[in-house]
Amino acid sequence: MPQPDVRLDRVTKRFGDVVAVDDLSLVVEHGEFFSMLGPSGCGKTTTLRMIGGFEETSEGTIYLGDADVTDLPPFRRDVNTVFQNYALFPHLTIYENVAFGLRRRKIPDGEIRHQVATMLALVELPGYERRRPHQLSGGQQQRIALARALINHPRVLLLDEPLGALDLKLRKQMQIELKRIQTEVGITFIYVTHDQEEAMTMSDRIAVMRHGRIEQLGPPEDLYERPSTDFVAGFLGVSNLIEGEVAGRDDRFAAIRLPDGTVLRAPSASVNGAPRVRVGVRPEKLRVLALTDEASSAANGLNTLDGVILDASYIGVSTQYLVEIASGQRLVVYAQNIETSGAAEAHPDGQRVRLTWRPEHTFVIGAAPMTPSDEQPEGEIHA
Amino acid sequence: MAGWLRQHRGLIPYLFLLPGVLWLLVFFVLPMLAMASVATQEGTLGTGFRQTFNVGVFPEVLDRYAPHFLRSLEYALVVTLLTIGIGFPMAYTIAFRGGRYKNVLLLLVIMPFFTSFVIRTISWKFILADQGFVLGTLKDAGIVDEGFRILATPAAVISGITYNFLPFFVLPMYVALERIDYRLVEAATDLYASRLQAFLRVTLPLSIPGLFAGSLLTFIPAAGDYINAELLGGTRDTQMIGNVVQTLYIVNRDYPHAAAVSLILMVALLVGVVAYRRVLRGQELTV
Amino acid sequence: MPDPRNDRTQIERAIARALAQGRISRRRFLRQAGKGGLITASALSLPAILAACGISPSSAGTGSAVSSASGAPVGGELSGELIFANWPLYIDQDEDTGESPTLDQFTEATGSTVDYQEAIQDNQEFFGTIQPQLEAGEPTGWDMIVMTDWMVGNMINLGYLEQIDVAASVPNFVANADDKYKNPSYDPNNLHSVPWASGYTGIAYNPELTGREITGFADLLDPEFEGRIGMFSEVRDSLSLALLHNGVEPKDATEDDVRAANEVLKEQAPLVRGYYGNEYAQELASGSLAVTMAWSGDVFQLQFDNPDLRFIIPEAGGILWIDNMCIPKGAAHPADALAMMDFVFQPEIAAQMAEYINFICPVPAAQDIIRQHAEEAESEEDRDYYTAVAESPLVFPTAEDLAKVHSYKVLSEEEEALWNELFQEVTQG
Repeated sequence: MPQPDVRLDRVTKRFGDVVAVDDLSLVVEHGEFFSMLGPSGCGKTTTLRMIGGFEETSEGTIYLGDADVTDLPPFRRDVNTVFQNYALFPHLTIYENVAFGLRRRKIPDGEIRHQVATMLALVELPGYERRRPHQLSGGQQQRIALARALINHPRVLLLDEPLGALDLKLRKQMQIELKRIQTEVGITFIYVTHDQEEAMTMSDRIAVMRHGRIEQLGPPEDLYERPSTDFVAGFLGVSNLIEGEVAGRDDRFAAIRLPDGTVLRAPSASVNGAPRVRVGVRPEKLRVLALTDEASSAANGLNTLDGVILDASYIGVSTQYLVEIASGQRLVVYAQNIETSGAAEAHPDGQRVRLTWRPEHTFVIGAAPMTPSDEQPEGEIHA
Repeated sequence: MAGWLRQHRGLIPYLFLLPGVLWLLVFFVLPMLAMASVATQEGTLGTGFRQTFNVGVFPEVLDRYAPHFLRSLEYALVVTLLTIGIGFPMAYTIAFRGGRYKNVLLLLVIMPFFTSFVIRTISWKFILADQGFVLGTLKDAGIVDEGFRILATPAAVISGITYNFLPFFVLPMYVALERIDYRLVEAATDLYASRLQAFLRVTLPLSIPGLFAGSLLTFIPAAGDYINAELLGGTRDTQMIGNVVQTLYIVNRDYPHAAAVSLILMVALLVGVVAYRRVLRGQELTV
Repeated sequence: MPDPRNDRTQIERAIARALAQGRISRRRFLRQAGKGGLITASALSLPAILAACGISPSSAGTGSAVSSASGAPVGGELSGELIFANWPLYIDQDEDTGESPTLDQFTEATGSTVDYQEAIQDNQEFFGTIQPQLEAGEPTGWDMIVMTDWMVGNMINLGYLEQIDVAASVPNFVANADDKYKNPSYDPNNLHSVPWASGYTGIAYNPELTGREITGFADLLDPEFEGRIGMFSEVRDSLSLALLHNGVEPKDATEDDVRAANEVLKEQAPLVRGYYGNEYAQELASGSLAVTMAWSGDVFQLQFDNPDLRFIIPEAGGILWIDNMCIPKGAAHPADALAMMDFVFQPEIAAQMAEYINFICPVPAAQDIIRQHAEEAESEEDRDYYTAVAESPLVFPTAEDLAKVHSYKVLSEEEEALWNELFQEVTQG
């Protein structure tokens, strides 16, 4: 039975009139790689800073293990932070940067030397002791920031967009690296990011946040495959949403009738009882068939929709289609180029096609339509 | 010309330096040489001064005015410590807690500069006069002795210099503190440093450039100041080296001695600055 | 007739109000500015630097370049122009126009226009600006300058002043000047100079703070007044009073006398609050000084705000200093300068200036004219003011006072260096 490492109980944070974090409760298990994902201003960084002790809570309680740490200053909390821009001490050598926490805790010099060496080895920067932060590249500084925090063996490591300043290639590399290190040291990581791919790559669980609240919390595949809100569906990848009515359900599937009479099937579990719903499907789940193939598809028990190709863009690994269905709505389709190559082999514009997908890949979300004000993922500096 | 420049591209940076170098040459190097030349001459204004390379003048004035040199250094040191004591918390508060009032607070710091140095100092004289607004009230209330005075004491001189040079410390100090990324302080507290330790280990070392600039901008003019000693002191035991130079130069018209005293003061300050720089640079490296 | 008390420049009024709430001597305000490190400190240094750079032997003792030291008195026809250097705020001035009535009347009477400049702030410093030309035998650009007696003596010795024949060229001086100003020791027979104005160096005190009458220099040595005694930074003034205290006539002081007097000042130094230029007046007015060396005209003006203040000539003697008009060698318009000298010795003109300047008027007959102004005054305030000027022994000295005052010694260069060096031990240790 895993014990919770961090528990937030109805935590609220206000800056003046602005509610940054709104009545948020959360449990992070021991050893978990937990991400908070969301756009700028969703409250993720503020939540992290409250756990770290850099912001006071307006209401609510924060526990580390069993201890209430709500009113403790950062230096009395058994957590360490990797800051967004690393916040390495520019006046200190790498050695002293990494040793900083141990020195404050009066660890003997010999022990410090040993541990610093171990840590630098862990982050694969041995021999960098005498350098200064400004002599290191961004990725190297990132590793040092990690080493500086990890050397203290905190109960929880907080990471605030730690890869935000790195270029794409390095970021990918560091994602793998971070996950490796986390597995190696077995410390609980709470990771804040606005990059859904990053969160999905590394996390055991992700909390998607919006307007100071958790929109949906779960393992990455749950969030992706079965988003429960428009926002989550839109924030994690692209999705096609089609309005309809629940026409009936059995143990496995629910039938949803579209305005034009087409019936689609979706897993029963995803229908929560509201009569009007939206049916969702990810673009890569759709197959595009020229209408001549139609006989075979219906028989296979797949969901089908007919439409016309409006646009086809060949992008190498896949071809993206924009398909207009009977209702006039446009759906996005990613077709893997497994057996085709080159634009010439794609379905031409104007071709009538049938889209098919497996009912299991269908998700259903509540009736509230997406509002235009909902933010899309973007770089964020601070919550 | 343009073609020539294109061929000698490497010279362009030096051409940019030229005005500054000429300026320094004309207004610093030449006067320094002239001063050294005057210092080693002998004679009087009436009979004329002759260059005799009398280097004996340096030990002579050093011995004759040793108390004034020492007093100036002592006053300047006390003044610098006081400005650090008063100015650092000011700069710190403005930089880290000033919020949207930062600019207003900075304006208040430099506000005294809107009046002339001399007028500011003279106004102190009136505020602190023996029977003036402050002391008169205290005396009437029986809080201080009838004979008590602030003016014409070393304390008055030191306070006056401190007041006059405080902005010279606060401004560079503020700039240095303002540049410190507050996340570094958070990082330190995150790494088990108490607020005091975070200040001592991170904020303070990182603010050393400002401390260096600010304390020098205070110490150097303070050591050479004579206005405060003249206006707020005036007694024999408050005379600083600047007053000696002034008397030698303007009253006694003893240019060689005046120049020698000035040169010694300058060299002493120069040596002091270099040594100070070394101490602080060493400081920066340690934890 | 405009009220002369209001005849002040805006600046002076502002300074007077802000600094002392008292009347600062017009002439004295800037006189010591260099020593006090005051407003003109920067202005002073340039000529000083120039003087320092022009390091060539001067003609001291030889008078080489200027050959006509014993030449004939100047004279001749008026040229219609006069270039006149004087101390700031040392001539009457109309409040509204800023013009000097005296200068206007002079132009009207003689047809000669005056280029009047307040160019002199310090005897030494001004001398430094004209000395190179005088030494080279070239004109200084000035036709008439006002210098203090000892500087006049110095310049005569150096052969830097034109000779004048007062009997022929300045008859009003012969007719109207007090005898005290005739044939002074620094310029026998007035061969080179006639007085502009003069004053006493004595002692001023605030009876409320001293708690007793002050009679002489000994009171300046009284430990009871520790920290409330003011002395002058001007070496001639301070040492001369100390010499008199020791019973030595300043003019005759030997080196030993000076050293002995200097010892008195050194012993006194721990009691002294400061060595002042003009600022002493504000310190006296503000109550910081109980007893101080003082210049008579300043105290006369301070008394308008604090009638309790007193000025005395020390029992052992005070100093009468005299500022003199003189003509530097090579002046282009000497006849116009002589005309001006003569013009200001008319009693009416002397009275008009004395009402503004408040230092000692060299023309005794001016006293009755000012009394007459008092009678004709339109307001009571004006009448009181004119009466105060006319009856003040600080403007029209009494015979007893004049009997108690002495002159500065005209110092040789060696003596001056010695005095300065000794006195620096007093003021700066």
